This record gives sequence, C-alpha cells and structure tokens, in this order.
Amino acid sequence: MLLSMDKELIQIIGVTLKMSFFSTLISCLIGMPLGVLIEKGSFFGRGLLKKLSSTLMGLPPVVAGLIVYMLFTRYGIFGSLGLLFTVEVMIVAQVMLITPVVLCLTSSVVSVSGNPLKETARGLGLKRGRTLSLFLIHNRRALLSVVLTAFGRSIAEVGAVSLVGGNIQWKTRVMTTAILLETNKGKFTFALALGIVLLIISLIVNVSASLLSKGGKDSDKM
Amino acid sequence: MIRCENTVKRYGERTVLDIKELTVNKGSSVALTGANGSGKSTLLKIIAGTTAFEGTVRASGRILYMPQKIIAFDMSVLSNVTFSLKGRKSEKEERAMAALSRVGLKELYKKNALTLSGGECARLSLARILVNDCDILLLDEPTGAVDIEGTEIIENTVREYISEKERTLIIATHSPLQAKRMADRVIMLQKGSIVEDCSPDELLKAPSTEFGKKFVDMWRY
Amino acid sequence: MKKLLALLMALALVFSFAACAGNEEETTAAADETTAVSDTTAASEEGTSDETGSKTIRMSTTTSVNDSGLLPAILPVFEQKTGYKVEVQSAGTGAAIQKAKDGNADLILVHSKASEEAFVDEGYGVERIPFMFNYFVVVGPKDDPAGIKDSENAAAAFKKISSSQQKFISRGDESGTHKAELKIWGDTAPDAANDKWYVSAGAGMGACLTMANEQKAYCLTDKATFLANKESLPELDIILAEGEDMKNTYSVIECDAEKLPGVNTAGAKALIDWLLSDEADALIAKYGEEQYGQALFTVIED
Repeated sequence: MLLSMDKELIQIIGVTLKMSFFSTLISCLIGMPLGVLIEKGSFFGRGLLKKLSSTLMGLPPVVAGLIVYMLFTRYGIFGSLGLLFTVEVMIVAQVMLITPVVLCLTSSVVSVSGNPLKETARGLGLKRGRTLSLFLIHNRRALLSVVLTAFGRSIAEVGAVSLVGGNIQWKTRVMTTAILLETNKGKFTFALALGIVLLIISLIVNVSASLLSKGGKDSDKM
Repeated sequence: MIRCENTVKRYGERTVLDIKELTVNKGSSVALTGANGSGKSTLLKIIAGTTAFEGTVRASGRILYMPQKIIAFDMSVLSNVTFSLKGRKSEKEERAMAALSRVGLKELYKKNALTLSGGECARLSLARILVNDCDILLLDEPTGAVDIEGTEIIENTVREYISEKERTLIIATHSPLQAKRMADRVIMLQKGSIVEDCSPDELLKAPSTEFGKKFVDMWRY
Repeated sequence: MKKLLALLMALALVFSFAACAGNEEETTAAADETTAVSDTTAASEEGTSDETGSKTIRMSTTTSVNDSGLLPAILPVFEQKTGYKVEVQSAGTGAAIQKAKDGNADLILVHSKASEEAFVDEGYGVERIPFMFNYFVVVGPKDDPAGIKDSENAAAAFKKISSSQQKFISRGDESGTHKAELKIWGDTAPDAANDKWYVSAGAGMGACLTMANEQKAYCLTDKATFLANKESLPELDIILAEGEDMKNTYSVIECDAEKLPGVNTAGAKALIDWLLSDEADALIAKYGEEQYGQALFTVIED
C-alpha cells in the first residue's frame, strides 16, 4: 500500500501546496489592500463592508463550497467554463473563505499600529509610498502571521474543497480529502499517518516563513 | 513663519480647538502649555498637516513633527534613523551615526529598536527627526516619559539643532522649567483657546487665569 | 520518503493502540456497570450511559442502505414492538466494518461478501446471514454515447465504455459498490493515473451521482440511491439493469461478544431475528413501491 501510495502521495502533496499557495496569494492580494482601505480610507459602504467581512469570517466552509458549486455547476452562471471539479475552482472557493479572514486580520493590524505610525511617518516628511513600505516593514511579523493563518486555513479546509473539487484521484485530491477518504475506508491508521504528514507540511511552511521574516541578526532578542 | 487664522477643529459637536489668530515668527521658540485636552497636540497636528481642520494655517518651509506617542520602528536602531534619508548608503549611515552619537545611542546602533527602553526610545525618535533638515520643528512632549539625564540630552540636542540656522521651534510641555529653558515665548491653551501669550518671565509676574496661577506656582518650587 | 511514511504509520499505530486500549477499558467498565445496575433498579435513572448495554442496539451500516431510506421505514416497527432503540451509524463499507472491529457496534449490515467473510473469519462476527438483495444498475447520459444499452451484462458494458473512452465515475473509496465495480472490471480495471476518462472520485454514492450528472458520465450505482436522487439528476438514466454480474447482496452479522466485549448480544440477536421474520420480509419487499413505483429490495427466502 505504501509502495503504491508513494507516487500518489507526492502528487497529493503537490496539489495541496498548489491550492493552498494560490488561494493564500490571491486572498492576500485582495484582502490586504482592502483591509488597509477599510481602516484608513473613507468611501461609501465602508462600515457595511467591515461588518460583512467579519460576518463572512464565520461562514461555514461547506456553505462557501455550496455557493461556488452553484455558480460553476452545469446549470450555473459560470457552468459553461467547465471548471467544476478542478483545482482552479477549489482555489475560488478557498479565496472566498479566506479573503474575509485576511481582510479582518489586516484591518486589526492597521487599527493597532496604523495611526501612530502614519503620524510619525508624516512628521518625518515621508511620502505615501515610503509610508506604505514603512508600514509593511514595521508590521512584517503581524502580516506574516496573517498570511500563515490564511495558509493554515486553506491547507486544513475539507468541506468546501471536497464539494467543489470532488476529491478526484490524480486530479483534485488534497491531503484533507485523502484523509477523509481513508477514514471512510476504515483505514484509520493510514488516515492518521496522512494527518501527521499534513502537520509536518504545515510545520515546514511555518518554520521557513518565520526564518524568512527575521530581519536583523538580533531582531529576535525581545 | 507660521500664521493661523480662525483655525477650528471639531470632533462632531465638540470643539477642541478655536484659535482666532496666532503668528509665530521665524527663528522663535515657543513653549505650548495647558492642561490635558486643552488642544496642544491638536494645534501641533494641524500645523504639521496630519489632521483636517477649518480655517487657514500658513507655514513656510519644511516642517518636522514628533508626535506624543513615540514609536520605534521594528528594525535596527541605525535603520530607524536612516529610513527617512535619501542618497548613498554609506553617506546615510554616516549622518545617522552622527545623530545617534549626539543622543548617546551610538553603541546600540545594531540592536532592534523594539528592545530599547522608553527613554532610549524617545532619544532615538529625536535622532530620527533631527537627522533631517527643516525650518520648523514641532515636538509634542518629547520628554514626557524620560528621566532627568535623558531630558537634559534631549533639550541640549534640540537647542543645538535649532541654533544651527534660524529654525522655528514649538514644543508642547507640562513643565514650566522646560518652557523657561527651551522657549522665549509661552502660549497657554485652555479648552482650545489661547489664554496667555507672553514671555516666560511675564507669565511668572502676572498669571491671568486659574490654570496660569497653578502653573506659575509649580514654577516657584 | 517511503521510510518516513512507514515511520509515521508506526507512530500512528502507537497512537491508535493507545486509543483502542482506552476504549476497551471504557467499554468493559460500562458493561460492568450495567450488570451492577440491573440488580438495583433505582440506579437506572442516574445516567443514560447505563442503558447502552440493555435497550440500545448499535448498528453500523453502509451509506447506500441508509440513503435508500429503508431503515427509517422499517425499524420503528421493531422498536415499537420490542422497546429497543436502534442507533444507526452509516459510513462506507470499509469504515462501517472498522467501527465494528473497534467495538463500536453490535451488528453490521453491509454488502461486500469478501469483507464480510474476512470479518467473520477474524472472529469479529458470529455468522454472515445474507437476507436481501437488489441489483446494481449502470446509469449514464440519456443518449448513451458508449452504446451499452443492449449489453448482455455489466462486464460487456464496461468494455464498451472503456474502448470508447466515455467518462466513468468510480466511487474509489473501497465501499461495497466500489468493490463490486472492481469485480466487474476484473483484469481490465482502468488506471486512474493514466486513463483520463476514468474518474476515481473517492466519495459517497450521492456525490458520485451528482458528479456523473455534472460531467455526463457513466456510473455504477445501487438502484435505491439512484431512484432516491433521481430528481436532481436530470442528465442521467438507468442504461443497463439486472445483468447476472450486478447482483448486490446485503447481509447482517452479529458482532462476537467474546472478541469484542461490551457488545449487546441480546439486542443484536433480537434485531437479526426480526429482520429474518415474515413481518420484516413483508415490509422490505414492499418498500419503495409507494415512493418510486417499484420495490428496491428482494428478500432472500430461507
């Protein structure tokens, strides 16, 4: 079983990482600027967007999956694209789930340090771009943990991805749906082994991310 | 020169600042004083241009402003100071090191700024500001959380800096002694309006308000 | 990689043994309590856990049985008559059997002969009693692009699907239906890694049918689940029914209390006896006529 799973396991890990990476990337690209805007900007519907995003944080993954399913099903609005049961549509569902989380966490980072930092930057005569890069550098740890939270959500999600991805072998099967399948087969031990593999992947991602974030040599001496 | 006319700041219904007229001449040093919530910080923010307001404020030249809430950037002490500079790296670092040694933080240049104490933080913040050139310097209680030695370093550094060329200084403070040491003019705010505007010595002789009397009493001890 | 995974398996095994040991202790403890309680009737009000041994029967069954709606239709009659309460847990055949092996069921109702025989041979089950059957059907797009309509049996139909490379959704979850499908393929089973038309979904029957409907694909299913979901499957029809290789036999097996302490033997026996009784036979034979216009199961006569 291990022999035959070996090649497949690597493929499953590949799909898992691809899905988690792109869904994290896209939701950060959408959620982070929106998170800053929602806190700093003044535009129509800002309060509503804020409430909406914190409500959507509690959206059950299966419901998100269901909505995406309805959109991409044969009879749905995007049905003609034929994207149901592909990695792409899994990413769409994940983005829907994670973006509100990224948005809310980013806006809380901004609300904690945003104003005093902006004031200090303006006081120093920094231009907008420079102020933004100061914000990013100064809050890199907090923002990194936003990214890692998003990644963690994405890699651990099972309800939405099994619904829209279909858990198809060699195509859309990811670690979590594989674990679910092995559990349904009654191979609890093997499922648990896969679970440990998933944990190890998360650990590797977390450790390498925190190594990357260490700015100066002594930045960890707090 | 700084000139304010009918400068008003409101938060909803509440008016926190209402200044009919104020002129600060080029090269003068002004101590801004008054109780908490009297509008000192708001006035500085308005002049610095970091908050919206009604009326007109004209200020000529480059302004530097150090807010009351001091933040050390999450990076090395040296990078904190070089961050606002332009030019070659070696040149920036040379200027930054000079500024750091002036406030006595030279040895700590490699450390992450978040590891500094409150007093060191205030000195770093000052070095970060003063490494730049300016015409108008606005300081909001720069020694609010600093011990005696640190206060002396900060005051000396600021005095040195403004005397380099004809720079204008407005410093918000709760200390009458600091006002006397740093400024040739004291402006006292109460509920957003100017209630005293004179030299430190004149205020000592004839305080015209309750708060002015208390302030002067403190001065006598 | 292989070594690593083997190591992890070992680690997981240790975990699960620890968990099992814990479970066993709990179950024996619970059984002890029950005997103690039967002496002092007053104590029976204290906790619901005491009743596990006496009035509750835990049945582990496959999703296809549960999805067909048969059990909710007939079990209330048994419950009313005997005062037992039947807790039905449904999962894929593999998991259904595994749950029983872990001591979490009193009897199983499944449809995979080989797994059932292994269950009995390993000493977990007392005796395999086949009691009803139905036929698997091959469903597919209404226009039948692979032309399997008049095939002699499922094996012939599968050959046609394979040679025309029409999409086929496989359960791929080692369930009874999946095992039946693999048996029909025999040596010609496609390889999901290379044959793009063969989709191994690793999902339950309902999910696979939805996928087949979505992708206009063929699928082997039990008739009951298909009929129960037909309304939401407008693209699909039964293309081939009742080949001799499509018979689907359901059995009940009482869990062996010697191997699995804590099993409610009396309850399991009572339920099995009732399932084999004339009363239950009549209910099963009639089930489906009202709702789908045809019976879904055929009772095996002794």
